[in-house]
Amino acid sequence: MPYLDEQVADAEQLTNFILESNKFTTELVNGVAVTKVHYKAFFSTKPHEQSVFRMNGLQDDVVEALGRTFVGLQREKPIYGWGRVSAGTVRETVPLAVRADEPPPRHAVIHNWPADVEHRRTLAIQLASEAVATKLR
Amino acid sequence: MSRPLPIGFDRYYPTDLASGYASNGIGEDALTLRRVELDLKQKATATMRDSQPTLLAAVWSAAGTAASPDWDGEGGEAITDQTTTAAIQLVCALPEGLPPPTITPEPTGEIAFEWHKDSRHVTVLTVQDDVIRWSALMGTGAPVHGREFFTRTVPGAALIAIQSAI
Repeated sequence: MPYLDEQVADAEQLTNFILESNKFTTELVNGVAVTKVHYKAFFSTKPHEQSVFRMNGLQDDVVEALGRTFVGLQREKPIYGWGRVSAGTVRETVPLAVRADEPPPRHAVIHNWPADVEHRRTLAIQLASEAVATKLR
Repeated sequence: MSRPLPIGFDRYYPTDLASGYASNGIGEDALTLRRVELDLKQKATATMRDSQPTLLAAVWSAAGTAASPDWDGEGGEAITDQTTTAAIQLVCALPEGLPPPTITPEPTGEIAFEWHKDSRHVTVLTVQDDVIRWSALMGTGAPVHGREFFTRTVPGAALIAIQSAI
């Protein structure tokens, strides 16, 4: 029995956990330094799938705990934070698509990445430009 | 105005080959133009010429970081010697007036040169062996990407993309 509905709604936020500090970037917006997500956080190195989690409605400390449990521990890396984009934004970034992919609970994947590296990188830049960053440390 | 000299007249014409300008004009206008040109050139070369040692060091650093397979613990491909050589050639091929890019290894085995004005103005140029690739988001315009065989020059389409991100 899946933890969440198998259909990922366009309005759902997809959380991409970030395990390297250099996958955040800072830019000035109206003179204020704002943390943004670097494209490398969304760059699928091989034409496979980008792992994300469906964390709508959860507090940041719960999101962090789930990230540590299901992502950080397995890869033996700390969670530096995450970037969030809506499933609708991902689907508008043609040809990308989203589907639920449990287990682990709340897991989903961004798939349908093109084979060309330069095309994948462009899509990653687009997703990063739309992502909202949460940096923990 | 300088007076034209007859063909075969035995005179030395100092020519600045680097800038492509003959420097034998002696009129006031020519001198002013020459000063402006030199001033612009000096300002422009300060951007890349001063940064070149740092950029070359960044290329070697990227190559060292990604010298062996799985260098990032995520299955990253190693950077080949040919890719390192191509990145050095790309540093030398970048137009002098550009601000220096950020140079990093990519898990795909490429070396990336990134210009980032803000999250919607980003251009990434990469080299890998004999291929140069570019990926860019240019504001509200359509994103672009492309690839060519690397011939020690920056493709025109990539240059246009870079200009949008500086």
